[in-house]
Amino acid sequence: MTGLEIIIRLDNDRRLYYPGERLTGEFHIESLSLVEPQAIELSALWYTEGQGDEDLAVHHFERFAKDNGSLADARRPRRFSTTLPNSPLSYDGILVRIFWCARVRVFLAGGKEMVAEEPFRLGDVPRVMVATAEEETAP
Amino acid sequence: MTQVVKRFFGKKRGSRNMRSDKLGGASLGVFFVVFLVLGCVSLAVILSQLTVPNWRANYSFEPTECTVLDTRVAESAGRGRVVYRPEVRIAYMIDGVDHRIWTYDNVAMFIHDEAWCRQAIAAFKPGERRTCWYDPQNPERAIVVRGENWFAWLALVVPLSFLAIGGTGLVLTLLSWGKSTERRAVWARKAAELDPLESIVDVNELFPHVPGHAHLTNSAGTTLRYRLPPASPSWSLWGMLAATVAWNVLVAALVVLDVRRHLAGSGDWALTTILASFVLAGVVLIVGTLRKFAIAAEVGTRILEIDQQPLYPGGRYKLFLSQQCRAPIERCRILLVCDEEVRYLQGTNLRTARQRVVEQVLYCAEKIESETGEAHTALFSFELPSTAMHSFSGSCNHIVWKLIVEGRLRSGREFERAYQLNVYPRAGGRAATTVRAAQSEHA
Repeated sequence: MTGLEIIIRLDNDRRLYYPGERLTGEFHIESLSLVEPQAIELSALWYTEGQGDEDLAVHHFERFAKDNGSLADARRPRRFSTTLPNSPLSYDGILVRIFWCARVRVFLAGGKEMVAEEPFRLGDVPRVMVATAEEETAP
Repeated sequence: MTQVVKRFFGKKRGSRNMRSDKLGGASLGVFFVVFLVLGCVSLAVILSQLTVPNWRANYSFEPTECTVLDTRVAESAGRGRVVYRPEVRIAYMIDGVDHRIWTYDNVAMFIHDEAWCRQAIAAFKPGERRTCWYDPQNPERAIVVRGENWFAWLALVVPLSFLAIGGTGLVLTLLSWGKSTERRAVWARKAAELDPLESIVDVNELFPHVPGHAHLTNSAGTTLRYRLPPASPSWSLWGMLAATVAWNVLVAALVVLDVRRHLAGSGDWALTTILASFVLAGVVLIVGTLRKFAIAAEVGTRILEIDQQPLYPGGRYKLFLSQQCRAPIERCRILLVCDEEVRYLQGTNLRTARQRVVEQVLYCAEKIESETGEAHTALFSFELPSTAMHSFSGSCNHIVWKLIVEGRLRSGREFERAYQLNVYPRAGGRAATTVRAAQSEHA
Protein backbone atom coordinates (compact mmCIF):
# COMPACT_ATOMS: atom_id res chain seq x y z
CA MET A 1 0.00 0.00 0.00
CA THR A 2 1.34 3.41 -0.95
CA GLY A 3 -1.27 5.46 0.91
CA LEU A 4 -1.78 7.60 -2.20
CA GLU A 5 -5.00 8.36 -3.97
CA ILE A 6 -5.28 10.11 -7.33
CA ILE A 7 -8.36 12.27 -7.80
CA ILE A 8 -9.31 13.45 -11.33
CA ARG A 9 -12.32 15.71 -11.86
CA LEU A 10 -13.67 16.93 -15.17
CA ASP A 11 -15.29 20.39 -14.91
CA ASN A 12 -19.06 20.25 -14.31
CA ASP A 13 -18.74 16.45 -14.11
CA ARG A 14 -19.24 16.30 -17.85
CA ARG A 15 -19.01 12.91 -19.56
CA LEU A 16 -19.97 13.87 -23.12
CA TYR A 17 -17.88 16.19 -25.30
CA TYR A 18 -18.00 17.07 -28.96
CA PRO A 19 -15.07 17.57 -31.35
CA GLY A 20 -13.48 20.98 -30.95
CA GLU A 21 -14.75 21.48 -27.40
CA ARG A 22 -12.42 22.21 -24.47
CA LEU A 23 -11.79 19.39 -22.06
CA THR A 24 -11.01 21.03 -18.72
CA GLY A 25 -10.57 19.65 -15.25
CA GLU A 26 -8.14 19.19 -12.43
CA PHE A 27 -6.35 16.44 -10.59
CA HIS A 28 -4.63 16.14 -7.26
CA ILE A 29 -3.04 13.52 -5.10
CA GLU A 30 -4.28 12.72 -1.64
CA SER A 31 -1.59 11.22 0.52
CA LEU A 32 -1.90 9.64 3.93
CA SER A 33 1.79 8.82 4.08
CA LEU A 34 5.13 10.48 3.50
CA VAL A 35 5.59 8.77 0.13
CA GLU A 36 6.61 11.48 -2.31
CA PRO A 37 5.90 11.07 -6.03
CA GLN A 38 8.94 11.43 -8.28
CA ALA A 39 6.94 12.38 -11.35
CA ILE A 40 3.34 12.80 -12.46
CA GLU A 41 2.05 12.46 -16.03
CA LEU A 42 -1.32 13.68 -17.23
CA SER A 43 -2.66 12.49 -20.59
CA ALA A 44 -5.85 12.91 -22.56
CA LEU A 45 -5.88 9.84 -24.75
CA TRP A 46 -7.91 7.25 -26.57
CA TYR A 47 -7.38 3.52 -26.65
CA THR A 48 -9.13 0.55 -28.18
CA GLU A 49 -10.46 -2.55 -26.55
CA GLY A 50 -11.88 -5.66 -28.12
CA GLN A 51 -10.68 -8.63 -30.09
CA GLY A 52 -7.86 -6.80 -31.86
CA ASP A 53 -4.58 -5.80 -30.29
CA GLU A 54 -4.70 -2.44 -28.55
CA ASP A 55 -4.25 0.86 -30.41
CA LEU A 56 -3.52 3.93 -28.29
CA ALA A 57 -2.79 7.56 -29.08
CA VAL A 58 -2.16 10.46 -26.75
CA HIS A 59 -3.83 13.75 -27.66
CA HIS A 60 -2.56 15.87 -24.75
CA PHE A 61 0.41 15.13 -22.47
CA GLU A 62 1.96 16.94 -19.51
CA ARG A 63 4.77 15.71 -17.29
CA PHE A 64 5.73 17.13 -13.91
CA ALA A 65 8.97 15.71 -12.51
CA LYS A 66 11.16 16.42 -9.51
CA ASP A 67 14.33 16.16 -11.58
CA ASN A 68 13.38 19.19 -13.72
CA GLY A 69 11.83 21.16 -10.85
CA SER A 70 8.27 21.11 -12.23
CA LEU A 71 6.97 19.05 -9.29
CA ALA A 72 7.60 21.19 -6.24
CA ASP A 73 4.41 20.22 -4.41
CA ALA A 74 2.88 16.97 -5.60
CA ARG A 75 -0.29 17.46 -3.52
CA ARG A 76 -1.20 20.78 -5.06
CA PRO A 77 -4.26 20.52 -7.35
CA ARG A 78 -3.32 21.01 -10.99
CA ARG A 79 -5.67 22.13 -13.71
CA PHE A 80 -5.56 20.84 -17.25
CA SER A 81 -7.19 22.00 -20.43
CA THR A 82 -7.09 20.90 -24.04
CA THR A 83 -9.15 21.26 -27.20
CA LEU A 84 -10.48 17.88 -28.23
CA PRO A 85 -9.78 16.67 -31.78
CA ASN A 86 -12.31 15.87 -34.49
CA SER A 87 -11.58 12.15 -34.34
CA PRO A 88 -11.61 9.34 -33.45
CA LEU A 89 -15.01 9.51 -31.83
CA SER A 90 -15.90 7.18 -28.96
CA TYR A 91 -17.27 3.96 -30.38
CA ASP A 92 -18.88 0.87 -28.93
CA GLY A 93 -18.78 -1.78 -31.65
CA ILE A 94 -18.73 -5.55 -31.77
CA LEU A 95 -15.00 -6.21 -32.27
CA VAL A 96 -13.68 -2.70 -31.57
CA ARG A 97 -14.44 -0.22 -28.84
CA ILE A 98 -12.79 3.21 -28.68
CA PHE A 99 -12.51 4.83 -25.27
CA TRP A 100 -11.40 8.34 -24.35
CA CYS A 101 -10.10 9.20 -20.89
CA ALA A 102 -8.01 11.61 -18.86
CA ARG A 103 -5.29 9.51 -17.26
CA VAL A 104 -2.91 10.43 -14.45
CA ARG A 105 0.13 8.27 -13.80
CA VAL A 106 2.18 8.80 -10.67
CA PHE A 107 5.76 7.51 -10.45
CA LEU A 108 6.95 6.66 -6.95
CA ALA A 109 10.41 5.87 -5.64
CA GLY A 110 11.62 2.34 -6.39
CA GLY A 111 9.98 2.22 -9.82
CA LYS A 112 6.41 1.83 -8.51
CA GLU A 113 3.57 3.45 -10.43
CA MET A 114 -0.06 4.34 -9.78
CA VAL A 115 -2.63 5.08 -12.47
CA ALA A 116 -6.08 6.61 -12.37
CA GLU A 117 -8.46 7.32 -15.27
CA GLU A 118 -11.51 9.47 -15.75
CA PRO A 119 -13.42 8.30 -18.82
CA PHE A 120 -15.49 10.55 -21.07
CA ARG A 121 -17.15 10.22 -24.47
CA LEU A 122 -16.14 12.15 -27.56
CA GLY A 123 -19.13 12.45 -29.86
CA ASP A 124 -22.44 10.67 -29.55
CA VAL A 125 -22.14 7.72 -31.92
CA PRO A 126 -24.69 5.23 -30.57
CA ARG A 127 -23.76 1.70 -29.60
CA VAL A 128 -23.66 -0.75 -32.51
CA MET A 129 -26.56 -3.16 -32.21
CA VAL A 130 -26.19 -5.21 -35.36
CA ALA A 131 -24.43 -8.53 -35.08
CA THR A 132 -24.14 -10.56 -38.25
CA ALA A 133 -22.08 -13.65 -39.05
CA GLU A 134 -18.40 -13.16 -38.35
CA GLU A 135 -15.75 -14.14 -40.84
CA GLU A 136 -12.26 -15.05 -39.70
CA THR A 137 -9.19 -15.41 -41.86
CA ALA A 138 -5.54 -16.15 -41.25
CA PRO A 139 -3.35 -14.20 -43.68
CA MET B 1 -0.30 -17.11 -6.20
CA THR B 2 -3.69 -16.42 -7.79
CA GLN B 3 -2.45 -12.96 -8.73
CA VAL B 4 0.66 -14.43 -10.41
CA VAL B 5 -1.37 -17.03 -12.35
CA LYS B 6 -3.90 -14.40 -13.40
CA ARG B 7 -1.14 -12.05 -14.49
CA PHE B 8 0.56 -14.54 -16.79
CA PHE B 9 -2.33 -16.62 -18.03
CA GLY B 10 -5.21 -14.16 -17.97
CA LYS B 11 -6.82 -12.55 -20.97
CA LYS B 12 -4.19 -10.81 -23.04
CA ARG B 13 -6.40 -8.30 -24.78
CA GLY B 14 -9.36 -6.24 -23.82
CA SER B 15 -9.09 -6.11 -20.07
CA ARG B 16 -5.33 -5.67 -20.39
CA ASN B 17 -4.75 -7.22 -17.01
CA MET B 18 -1.45 -8.99 -17.61
CA ARG B 19 0.69 -6.16 -18.89
CA SER B 20 4.01 -5.81 -17.13
CA ASP B 21 6.09 -3.20 -18.88
CA LYS B 22 9.11 -3.91 -16.70
CA LEU B 23 9.06 -7.66 -17.23
CA GLY B 24 8.32 -7.18 -20.93
CA GLY B 25 11.10 -4.59 -21.27
CA ALA B 26 13.58 -6.79 -19.42
CA SER B 27 12.71 -9.81 -21.60
CA LEU B 28 13.07 -7.70 -24.71
CA GLY B 29 16.38 -6.33 -23.42
CA VAL B 30 17.68 -9.87 -22.84
CA PHE B 31 16.49 -10.87 -26.31
CA PHE B 32 18.40 -8.00 -27.93
CA VAL B 33 21.48 -8.61 -25.77
CA VAL B 34 21.51 -12.22 -27.03
CA PHE B 35 21.31 -10.89 -30.61
CA LEU B 36 24.11 -8.44 -29.88
CA VAL B 37 26.34 -11.10 -28.32
CA LEU B 38 25.64 -13.52 -31.19
CA GLY B 39 26.51 -10.75 -33.62
CA CYS B 40 29.76 -9.89 -31.82
CA VAL B 41 30.87 -13.54 -31.54
CA SER B 42 30.00 -14.43 -35.14
CA LEU B 43 31.63 -11.21 -36.38
CA ALA B 44 34.82 -12.05 -34.49
CA VAL B 45 34.83 -15.62 -35.85
CA ILE B 46 34.15 -14.63 -39.46
CA LEU B 47 36.67 -11.78 -39.36
CA SER B 48 39.42 -13.91 -37.81
CA GLN B 49 38.76 -17.08 -39.82
CA LEU B 50 37.64 -15.79 -43.17
CA THR B 51 37.67 -12.09 -44.02
CA VAL B 52 41.00 -11.00 -42.49
CA PRO B 53 42.93 -14.11 -43.70
CA ASN B 54 41.45 -13.56 -47.16
CA TRP B 55 42.46 -9.91 -47.14
CA ARG B 56 45.96 -10.75 -45.82
CA ALA B 57 46.45 -13.44 -48.48
CA ASN B 58 45.71 -10.89 -51.20
CA TYR B 59 47.49 -7.84 -49.83
CA SER B 60 50.02 -8.88 -47.18
CA PHE B 61 51.48 -12.21 -48.38
CA GLU B 62 54.96 -11.86 -49.96
CA PRO B 63 55.68 -13.31 -53.43
CA THR B 64 58.52 -15.79 -53.87
CA GLU B 65 59.56 -18.45 -56.36
CA CYS B 66 58.56 -22.05 -55.82
CA THR B 67 58.91 -25.37 -57.61
CA VAL B 68 55.85 -27.49 -58.31
CA LEU B 69 56.57 -31.01 -57.02
CA ASP B 70 53.26 -32.78 -57.43
CA THR B 71 49.49 -32.26 -57.83
CA ARG B 72 46.42 -34.14 -56.63
CA VAL B 73 42.72 -33.88 -56.03
CA ALA B 74 42.17 -34.40 -52.31
CA GLU B 75 38.98 -36.21 -51.31
CA SER B 76 36.91 -36.10 -48.18
CA ALA B 77 33.68 -37.92 -47.30
CA GLY B 78 31.26 -35.26 -46.17
CA ARG B 79 27.58 -35.99 -45.32
CA GLY B 80 27.48 -39.17 -47.40
CA ARG B 81 28.91 -37.49 -50.50
CA VAL B 82 32.56 -37.27 -51.49
CA VAL B 83 33.88 -33.72 -51.78
CA TYR B 84 37.07 -32.58 -53.47
CA ARG B 85 39.66 -29.82 -53.51
CA PRO B 86 42.70 -29.19 -55.70
CA GLU B 87 46.11 -29.43 -54.03
CA VAL B 88 49.59 -28.62 -55.33
CA ARG B 89 52.80 -29.68 -53.55
CA ILE B 90 55.41 -26.95 -53.76
CA ALA B 91 58.92 -26.34 -52.48
CA TYR B 92 60.14 -22.82 -51.67
CA MET B 93 63.00 -21.30 -49.69
CA ILE B 94 62.53 -18.54 -47.10
CA ASP B 95 65.57 -17.21 -45.14
CA GLY B 96 67.57 -20.30 -45.98
CA VAL B 97 64.84 -22.67 -44.74
CA ASP B 98 63.37 -25.14 -47.24
CA HIS B 99 59.55 -25.44 -47.04
CA ARG B 100 57.57 -28.23 -48.75
CA ILE B 101 53.79 -28.09 -48.39
CA TRP B 102 50.49 -29.10 -50.06
CA THR B 103 48.50 -25.96 -50.82
CA TYR B 104 46.27 -24.24 -53.35
CA ASP B 105 44.36 -21.09 -52.37
CA ASN B 106 43.62 -19.35 -49.10
CA VAL B 107 40.13 -20.80 -48.67
CA ALA B 108 41.09 -24.50 -49.05
CA MET B 109 37.40 -25.38 -49.30
CA PHE B 110 36.15 -28.83 -50.34
CA ILE B 111 33.58 -28.79 -53.17
CA HIS B 112 31.44 -31.32 -55.04
CA ASP B 113 32.79 -30.47 -58.51
CA GLU B 114 35.61 -32.97 -59.11
CA ALA B 115 35.98 -31.93 -62.76
CA TRP B 116 36.67 -28.34 -61.78
CA CYS B 117 39.36 -29.52 -59.30
CA ARG B 118 41.06 -31.63 -62.01
CA GLN B 119 40.98 -28.67 -64.37
CA ALA B 120 42.49 -26.46 -61.66
CA ILE B 121 45.51 -28.71 -61.01
CA ALA B 122 46.06 -29.27 -64.73
CA ALA B 123 47.55 -25.76 -64.88
CA PHE B 124 50.42 -26.89 -62.63
CA LYS B 125 53.13 -29.11 -64.15
CA PRO B 126 55.56 -30.92 -61.82
CA GLY B 127 59.02 -29.43 -62.08
CA GLU B 128 57.95 -25.99 -63.31
CA ARG B 129 58.89 -22.85 -61.39
CA ARG B 130 56.10 -20.45 -60.48
CA THR B 131 55.32 -17.62 -58.14
CA CYS B 132 53.76 -18.47 -54.81
CA TRP B 133 52.79 -16.13 -51.95
CA TYR B 134 53.83 -16.89 -48.37
CA ASP B 135 52.74 -15.48 -45.03
CA PRO B 136 55.59 -13.36 -43.60
CA GLN B 137 54.30 -14.08 -40.09
CA ASN B 138 54.25 -17.83 -40.73
CA PRO B 139 56.45 -18.84 -43.69
CA GLU B 140 55.15 -22.41 -43.41
CA ARG B 141 51.94 -21.07 -45.00
CA ALA B 142 51.85 -20.28 -48.72
CA ILE B 143 49.38 -20.27 -51.61
CA VAL B 144 49.72 -20.62 -55.37
CA VAL B 145 46.43 -18.92 -56.34
CA ARG B 146 45.32 -15.47 -55.16
CA GLY B 147 42.10 -13.57 -55.77
CA GLU B 148 39.20 -11.90 -54.03
CA ASN B 149 36.83 -14.29 -52.37
CA TRP B 150 33.39 -12.56 -52.41
CA PHE B 151 32.05 -15.03 -49.88
CA ALA B 152 34.55 -13.72 -47.27
CA TRP B 153 32.86 -10.30 -47.49
CA LEU B 154 29.31 -11.54 -48.05
CA ALA B 155 29.54 -13.63 -44.87
CA LEU B 156 29.81 -10.39 -42.89
CA VAL B 157 26.16 -9.65 -43.69
CA VAL B 158 25.01 -12.23 -41.13
CA PRO B 159 26.84 -10.88 -38.03
CA LEU B 160 26.26 -7.27 -39.09
CA SER B 161 22.50 -7.95 -39.32
CA PHE B 162 22.57 -9.48 -35.83
CA LEU B 163 24.53 -6.46 -34.56
CA ALA B 164 22.14 -3.97 -36.19
CA ILE B 165 19.01 -5.70 -34.85
CA GLY B 166 20.50 -6.30 -31.38
CA GLY B 167 22.09 -2.85 -31.09
CA THR B 168 19.07 -0.88 -32.33
CA GLY B 169 16.68 -2.96 -30.25
CA LEU B 170 18.80 -2.58 -27.13
CA VAL B 171 19.12 1.20 -27.56
CA LEU B 172 15.35 1.54 -28.09
CA THR B 173 14.64 -0.73 -25.11
CA LEU B 174 16.96 1.30 -22.88
CA LEU B 175 15.43 4.57 -24.12
CA SER B 176 11.91 3.35 -23.35
CA TRP B 177 12.89 1.74 -20.04
CA GLY B 178 10.82 3.18 -17.19
CA LYS B 179 8.83 5.37 -19.59
CA SER B 180 5.05 5.17 -19.49
CA THR B 181 2.92 3.91 -22.37
CA GLU B 182 1.59 7.44 -22.83
CA ARG B 183 5.06 9.00 -23.02
CA ARG B 184 6.16 6.43 -25.58
CA ALA B 185 3.00 7.09 -27.61
CA VAL B 186 3.85 10.83 -27.61
CA TRP B 187 7.37 10.02 -28.87
CA ALA B 188 5.92 7.78 -31.57
CA ARG B 189 3.59 10.59 -32.69
CA LYS B 190 6.45 13.10 -32.78
CA ALA B 191 8.58 10.65 -34.77
CA ALA B 192 5.71 10.22 -37.24
CA GLU B 193 5.41 14.01 -37.56
CA LEU B 194 9.10 14.20 -38.50
CA ASP B 195 8.59 11.67 -41.29
CA PRO B 196 9.55 13.55 -44.49
CA LEU B 197 7.39 11.21 -46.55
CA GLU B 198 4.25 12.40 -44.76
CA SER B 199 2.39 15.22 -46.46
CA ILE B 200 2.70 18.52 -44.57
CA VAL B 201 -0.83 19.63 -45.37
CA ASP B 202 -2.83 16.50 -44.76
CA VAL B 203 -6.51 16.38 -44.05
CA ASN B 204 -5.69 13.72 -41.45
CA GLU B 205 -4.19 16.46 -39.28
CA LEU B 206 -7.75 17.70 -38.93
CA PHE B 207 -9.21 14.23 -38.60
CA PRO B 208 -6.63 12.03 -36.86
CA HIS B 209 -6.91 8.31 -37.58
CA VAL B 210 -9.43 8.79 -40.37
CA PRO B 211 -7.96 7.51 -43.66
CA GLY B 212 -7.04 10.17 -46.23
CA HIS B 213 -9.16 10.28 -49.36
CA ALA B 214 -6.71 11.66 -51.95
CA HIS B 215 -6.59 8.28 -53.73
CA LEU B 216 -10.38 8.23 -53.89
CA THR B 217 -10.77 11.58 -55.59
CA ASN B 218 -8.03 11.49 -58.22
CA SER B 219 -10.16 9.77 -60.84
CA ALA B 220 -12.85 11.90 -62.48
CA GLY B 221 -16.16 10.32 -63.41
CA THR B 222 -18.14 10.73 -66.61
CA THR B 223 -21.62 11.11 -65.14
CA LEU B 224 -20.84 12.00 -61.53
CA ARG B 225 -17.82 13.76 -60.06
CA TYR B 226 -15.63 10.84 -58.91
CA ARG B 227 -15.06 7.38 -60.27
CA LEU B 228 -14.61 4.96 -57.36
CA PRO B 229 -11.52 2.74 -57.47
CA PRO B 230 -11.93 -0.89 -56.38
CA ALA B 231 -11.03 -1.45 -52.70
CA SER B 232 -8.66 -4.20 -53.70
CA PRO B 233 -7.25 -4.45 -57.22
CA SER B 234 -7.57 -7.73 -59.08
CA TRP B 235 -4.41 -9.07 -57.44
CA SER B 236 -6.01 -12.44 -56.79
CA LEU B 237 -6.59 -12.95 -60.52
CA TRP B 238 -3.09 -11.91 -61.58
CA GLY B 239 -1.53 -13.57 -58.54
CA MET B 240 -3.21 -16.85 -59.46
CA LEU B 241 -2.00 -16.48 -63.05
CA ALA B 242 1.58 -15.85 -61.86
CA ALA B 243 1.44 -18.81 -59.46
CA THR B 244 0.05 -21.06 -62.22
CA VAL B 245 2.77 -20.04 -64.68
CA ALA B 246 5.57 -20.38 -62.10
CA TRP B 247 4.35 -23.78 -60.88
CA ASN B 248 3.90 -25.21 -64.36
CA VAL B 249 7.25 -23.92 -65.64
CA LEU B 250 8.97 -25.55 -62.64
CA VAL B 251 7.08 -28.81 -63.09
CA ALA B 252 7.82 -28.80 -66.85
CA ALA B 253 11.56 -28.46 -66.12
CA LEU B 254 11.38 -31.36 -63.65
CA VAL B 255 9.45 -33.46 -66.18
CA VAL B 256 12.13 -32.83 -68.84
CA LEU B 257 14.86 -33.88 -66.38
CA ASP B 258 12.90 -36.97 -65.37
CA VAL B 259 12.25 -38.01 -68.99
CA ARG B 260 15.95 -37.60 -69.77
CA ARG B 261 16.84 -39.84 -66.84
CA HIS B 262 14.39 -42.49 -68.00
CA LEU B 263 15.80 -42.31 -71.54
CA ALA B 264 19.30 -42.72 -70.08
CA GLY B 265 18.06 -45.77 -68.19
CA SER B 266 18.53 -44.25 -64.73
CA GLY B 267 14.91 -43.23 -64.09
CA ASP B 268 13.43 -43.29 -60.61
CA TRP B 269 9.79 -44.46 -60.69
CA ALA B 270 9.11 -43.21 -57.14
CA LEU B 271 10.20 -39.74 -58.21
CA THR B 272 8.12 -40.02 -61.39
CA THR B 273 5.02 -40.87 -59.33
CA ILE B 274 5.53 -37.79 -57.16
CA LEU B 275 6.10 -35.72 -60.28
CA ALA B 276 2.82 -37.03 -61.74
CA SER B 277 0.96 -35.58 -58.73
CA PHE B 278 2.74 -32.24 -59.35
CA VAL B 279 1.57 -32.33 -62.97
CA LEU B 280 -1.99 -33.00 -61.78
CA ALA B 281 -1.77 -30.00 -59.41
CA GLY B 282 -0.55 -27.89 -62.35
CA VAL B 283 -3.54 -28.93 -64.44
CA VAL B 284 -5.91 -28.05 -61.57
CA LEU B 285 -4.25 -24.62 -61.31
CA ILE B 286 -4.61 -24.03 -65.06
CA VAL B 287 -8.30 -24.97 -64.98
CA GLY B 288 -8.93 -22.76 -61.94
CA THR B 289 -7.16 -19.77 -63.50
CA LEU B 290 -8.97 -20.16 -66.81
CA ARG B 291 -12.27 -20.35 -64.93
CA LYS B 292 -11.49 -17.11 -63.05
CA PHE B 293 -10.60 -15.33 -66.29
CA ALA B 294 -13.75 -16.70 -67.92
CA ILE B 295 -15.89 -15.27 -65.09
CA ALA B 296 -14.10 -11.91 -65.31
CA ALA B 297 -14.66 -11.82 -69.07
CA GLU B 298 -18.29 -12.90 -68.73
CA VAL B 299 -19.12 -10.29 -66.07
CA GLY B 300 -17.53 -7.51 -68.09
CA THR B 301 -16.32 -4.10 -66.99
CA ARG B 302 -18.09 -2.00 -64.39
CA ILE B 303 -17.96 1.69 -63.50
CA LEU B 304 -19.17 3.08 -60.21
CA GLU B 305 -19.28 6.86 -59.72
CA ILE B 306 -20.22 9.08 -56.79
CA ASP B 307 -20.94 12.81 -56.59
CA GLN B 308 -19.01 13.55 -53.35
CA GLN B 309 -16.06 12.32 -51.35
CA PRO B 310 -15.64 12.04 -48.40
CA LEU B 311 -19.06 11.18 -47.04
CA TYR B 312 -20.63 12.44 -43.81
CA PRO B 313 -23.23 10.73 -41.62
CA GLY B 314 -26.70 11.89 -42.56
CA GLY B 315 -25.52 13.08 -45.99
CA ARG B 316 -27.33 12.25 -49.23
CA TYR B 317 -25.24 11.10 -52.19
CA LYS B 318 -25.77 10.18 -55.82
CA LEU B 319 -24.39 6.99 -57.25
CA PHE B 320 -24.03 5.92 -60.88
CA LEU B 321 -23.54 2.33 -62.01
CA SER B 322 -22.56 1.19 -65.45
CA GLN B 323 -22.37 -2.59 -65.78
CA GLN B 324 -21.41 -4.18 -69.08
CA CYS B 325 -23.67 -7.08 -70.04
CA ARG B 326 -21.55 -9.60 -71.91
CA ALA B 327 -23.64 -12.37 -70.40
CA PRO B 328 -27.18 -12.29 -68.98
CA ILE B 329 -27.15 -11.24 -65.32
CA GLU B 330 -29.73 -12.87 -63.08
CA ARG B 331 -29.30 -10.39 -60.22
CA CYS B 332 -27.12 -7.38 -59.43
CA ARG B 333 -27.09 -5.58 -56.07
CA ILE B 334 -25.19 -2.66 -54.58
CA LEU B 335 -24.69 -2.84 -50.83
CA LEU B 336 -23.52 -0.13 -48.47
CA VAL B 337 -21.56 -1.90 -45.73
CA CYS B 338 -19.46 -1.03 -42.71
CA ASP B 339 -16.99 -3.62 -41.45
CA GLU B 340 -14.98 -3.72 -38.27
CA GLU B 341 -11.60 -5.28 -39.08
CA VAL B 342 -9.14 -6.16 -36.34
CA ARG B 343 -5.74 -7.84 -36.29
CA TYR B 344 -4.37 -9.69 -33.32
CA LEU B 345 -1.56 -12.03 -32.44
CA GLN B 346 -2.60 -15.52 -31.48
CA GLY B 347 0.61 -17.19 -30.40
CA THR B 348 2.94 -16.32 -33.24
CA ASN B 349 0.16 -16.06 -35.85
CA LEU B 350 -1.22 -12.72 -36.94
CA ARG B 351 -4.95 -13.18 -37.32
CA THR B 352 -7.64 -10.98 -38.79
CA ALA B 353 -11.25 -10.88 -37.68
CA ARG B 354 -14.01 -9.09 -39.54
CA GLN B 355 -17.50 -8.14 -38.41
CA ARG B 356 -20.15 -6.47 -40.55
CA VAL B 357 -22.01 -3.88 -38.50
CA VAL B 358 -23.97 -2.11 -41.25
CA GLU B 359 -25.41 -3.70 -44.38
CA GLN B 360 -27.91 -1.80 -46.47
CA VAL B 361 -29.13 -2.69 -49.97
CA LEU B 362 -28.98 0.49 -52.06
CA TYR B 363 -29.88 -0.95 -55.44
CA CYS B 364 -31.15 -4.21 -56.81
CA ALA B 365 -31.85 -5.16 -60.43
CA GLU B 366 -32.89 -8.53 -61.79
CA LYS B 367 -32.70 -10.21 -65.17
CA ILE B 368 -30.37 -7.76 -66.88
CA GLU B 369 -29.80 -8.65 -70.51
CA SER B 370 -28.70 -6.77 -73.60
CA GLU B 371 -28.83 -8.09 -77.15
CA THR B 372 -26.39 -5.45 -78.37
CA GLY B 373 -24.01 -5.79 -75.41
CA GLU B 374 -24.92 -2.30 -74.24
CA ALA B 375 -24.07 -1.48 -70.63
CA HIS B 376 -26.77 -1.50 -67.99
CA THR B 377 -26.82 1.88 -66.23
CA ALA B 378 -28.50 3.19 -63.11
CA LEU B 379 -28.44 6.58 -61.38
CA PHE B 380 -29.84 6.77 -57.89
CA SER B 381 -29.24 8.41 -54.52
CA PHE B 382 -28.83 7.08 -51.02
CA GLU B 383 -28.51 8.47 -47.50
CA LEU B 384 -25.74 7.54 -45.10
CA PRO B 385 -27.20 6.72 -41.65
CA SER B 386 -27.04 9.83 -39.47
CA THR B 387 -25.71 7.82 -36.51
CA ALA B 388 -22.95 6.14 -38.52
CA MET B 389 -19.43 5.91 -37.10
CA HIS B 390 -16.72 7.49 -39.24
CA SER B 391 -14.01 5.47 -41.02
CA PHE B 392 -11.23 4.68 -38.60
CA SER B 393 -7.71 3.45 -39.16
CA GLY B 394 -5.51 2.39 -36.24
CA SER B 395 -2.54 0.06 -36.32
CA CYS B 396 -4.56 -3.04 -35.47
CA ASN B 397 -8.17 -1.85 -35.58
CA HIS B 398 -10.09 -0.47 -38.54
CA ILE B 399 -13.61 0.62 -39.37
CA VAL B 400 -14.10 0.40 -43.11
CA TRP B 401 -17.01 1.67 -45.21
CA LYS B 402 -17.48 0.06 -48.61
CA LEU B 403 -19.86 -0.22 -51.50
CA ILE B 404 -20.13 -3.80 -52.68
CA VAL B 405 -21.39 -4.70 -56.13
CA GLU B 406 -22.43 -8.33 -56.10
CA GLY B 407 -24.52 -10.50 -58.29
CA ARG B 408 -25.14 -13.76 -60.11
CA LEU B 409 -24.96 -14.52 -63.81
CA ARG B 410 -27.64 -16.63 -65.43
CA SER B 411 -25.00 -19.33 -65.79
CA GLY B 412 -24.93 -19.51 -61.98
CA ARG B 413 -21.54 -17.90 -61.54
CA GLU B 414 -21.35 -15.25 -58.84
CA PHE B 415 -19.32 -12.05 -58.76
CA GLU B 416 -18.47 -9.46 -56.11
CA ARG B 417 -16.35 -6.32 -56.05
CA ALA B 418 -15.83 -3.83 -53.21
CA TYR B 419 -15.25 -0.05 -53.54
CA GLN B 420 -13.88 1.90 -50.59
CA LEU B 421 -15.68 4.93 -49.19
CA ASN B 422 -14.35 7.34 -46.60
CA VAL B 423 -16.81 8.52 -44.01
CA TYR B 424 -15.74 11.52 -41.93
CA PRO B 425 -17.21 12.56 -38.58
CA ARG B 426 -20.51 14.32 -38.86
CA ALA B 427 -20.20 17.71 -40.50
CA GLY B 428 -20.59 20.33 -37.83
CA GLY B 429 -19.20 23.84 -37.84
CA ARG B 430 -15.49 24.44 -38.03
CA ALA B 431 -14.29 20.92 -38.73
CA ALA B 432 -16.44 20.28 -41.79
CA THR B 433 -15.77 23.74 -43.21
CA THR B 434 -12.04 23.25 -42.88
CA VAL B 435 -12.10 19.91 -44.62
CA ARG B 436 -14.17 21.25 -47.47
CA ALA B 437 -11.76 24.17 -47.79
CA ALA B 438 -8.84 21.72 -47.91
CA GLN B 439 -10.72 19.73 -50.56
CA SER B 440 -11.23 22.84 -52.67
CA GLU B 441 -7.51 23.58 -52.48
CA HIS B 442 -6.76 20.04 -53.69
CA ALA B 443 -9.24 20.45 -56.52
